Amino acid sequence: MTALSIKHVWKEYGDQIVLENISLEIAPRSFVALVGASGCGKTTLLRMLLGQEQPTRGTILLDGEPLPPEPGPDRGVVYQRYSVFPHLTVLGNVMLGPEMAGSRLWGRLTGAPKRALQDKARQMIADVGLAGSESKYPAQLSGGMQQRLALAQALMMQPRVLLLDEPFGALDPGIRSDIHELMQRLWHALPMTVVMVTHDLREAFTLGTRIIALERTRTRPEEIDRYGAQIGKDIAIWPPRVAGGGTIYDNPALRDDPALDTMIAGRPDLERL
Amino acid sequence: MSQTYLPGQTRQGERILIAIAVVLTLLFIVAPLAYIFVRAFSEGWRVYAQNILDPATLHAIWLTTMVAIIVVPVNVAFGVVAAWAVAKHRFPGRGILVTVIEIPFSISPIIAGICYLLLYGRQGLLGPWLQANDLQVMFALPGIVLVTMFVTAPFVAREVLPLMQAQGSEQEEAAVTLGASGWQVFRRVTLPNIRWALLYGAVLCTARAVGEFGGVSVVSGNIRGQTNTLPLHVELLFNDLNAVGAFAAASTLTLLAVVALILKAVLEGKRST
Ligand SMILES: Nc1ncnc2c1ncn2[C@@H]1O[C@H](COP(=O)(O)OP(=O)(O)OP(=O)(O)O)[C@@H](O)[C@H]1O
Ligand SMILES: [Mg+2]
Repeated sequence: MTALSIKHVWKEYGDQIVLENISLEIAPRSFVALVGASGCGKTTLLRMLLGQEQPTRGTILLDGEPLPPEPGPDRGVVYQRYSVFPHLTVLGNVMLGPEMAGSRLWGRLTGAPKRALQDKARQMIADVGLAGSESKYPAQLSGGMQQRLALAQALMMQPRVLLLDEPFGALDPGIRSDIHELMQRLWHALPMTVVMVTHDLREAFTLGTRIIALERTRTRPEEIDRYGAQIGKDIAIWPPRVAGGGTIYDNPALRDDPALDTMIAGRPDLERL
Repeated sequence: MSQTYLPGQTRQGERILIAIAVVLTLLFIVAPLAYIFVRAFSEGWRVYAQNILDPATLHAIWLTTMVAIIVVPVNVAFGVVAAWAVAKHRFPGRGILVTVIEIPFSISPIIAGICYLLLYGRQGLLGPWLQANDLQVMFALPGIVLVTMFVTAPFVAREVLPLMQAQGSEQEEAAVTLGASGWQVFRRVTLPNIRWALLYGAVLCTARAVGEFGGVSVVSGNIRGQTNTLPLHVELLFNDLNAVGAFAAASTLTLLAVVALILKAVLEGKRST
């Protein structure tokens, strides 16, 4: 069960302050939707969680441990584009991560380990709804299928934290609702905490357990570089969703679920439950 | 009425231009090349074979092959590293490096030859030291290799660099999040993405390494059967008034060029997909 803890994090690029004193406790198994105006620093925050950027000040803890300063297999990521490798087939893309972990030098496996991995990869491909496309290349897939592939690729590493940067932003509305269903299913089924950046509030409310809005309070031109974005709104979704169990209305047994306690701990707005 | 193109007229104009292009190509490129083979075989197969199997010609073929075998891998490695450094990193002197890589293209090869002569020759800067250590660079294989390397240095970098720049670093970053080590990122992501451009550059590099005349003629010393590369040998035979022999030797060079051309065409197709 993976909790993320962001403590007084600032991010500056040169003279420009992008994020200002962000503090955020993310409960295990939550699905945080991160919204905010373009350029306010959502991607920057996500990249810091990934380990690709370091906070200028402040700390980020992953289950109480300081976050390693580089990306690692415990944190998966899916971007709007560029997440899958065009020169590999669907199967090759999904197998790439575990292959590289299994064979540090050549990044290729042989024999029994390879077959076992192939079976696992095929299962994952089927789980995201891409069965039958194993030998296709990304260019032969639609946008929605490419994002399914990107999810499968990231999930093969069994990340504890899945980071999504507008993963469905470029998809048509119809396809988007299909992939939302998939995303929900995966979040319920897999033991991971999700942080998703999105521009689409509807998407945020459909998928999230909690919505964080980054906001700049000072937007006059001479202030823009001196003040960064802060957490403007922190909204818990009602009724609370619990990973693996729907909402308390779909599933009354959840009222006694300890996971719900963890989620609402320290959240007075939820205590009326 | 403003200008209108009548379809008939345009088509006729086009036809004339195409005809001119075809005639010029035949006249200036295809005919001379074909003539090499006509002359090479003018006294029959047997004489042709004799000419090719002449020890001095065989040695020239061997020497040229050796030079290519040494030069091409070195320049492929150099090209990839240089392009990678320039495309994926920001460092002081980056712009200068781009220009320096291109220098061999804008300098006449004979000047390169003279520079190496002045540096490594008997009277040159390093001459006394080389002699004291009994190292022969000029008028020997090392000198020929060095000059050829200089002349053909930009080919690979120039093909690979624009591609790397266009692709950016997103895919490499994605691979890192899948747990790839630096070497794995290169092997599994960077290299496959540039492979056709790389092969294309290598073919151009090989063709030029095999055919280089000006620079090599300065540093080789033209010792028959010892430091004569194939292009130098052709000239030597020609000056001996052995036209058939010269054309026979030239035909091997031409064949190599044709093979390179076919490879190049194939790779060009691959590269654009
Ligand atoms: N590597 C960098 N160097 C300098 N400035 C940067 C860098 N990365 C981001 N920034 C700046 O930080 C600010 C926030 O960028 P970020 O990409 O995090 O915004 P965002 O909220 O994700 O925007 P969008 O919704 O458009 O994706 C921008 O002003 C951007 O110019
Ligand atoms: Mg962004």
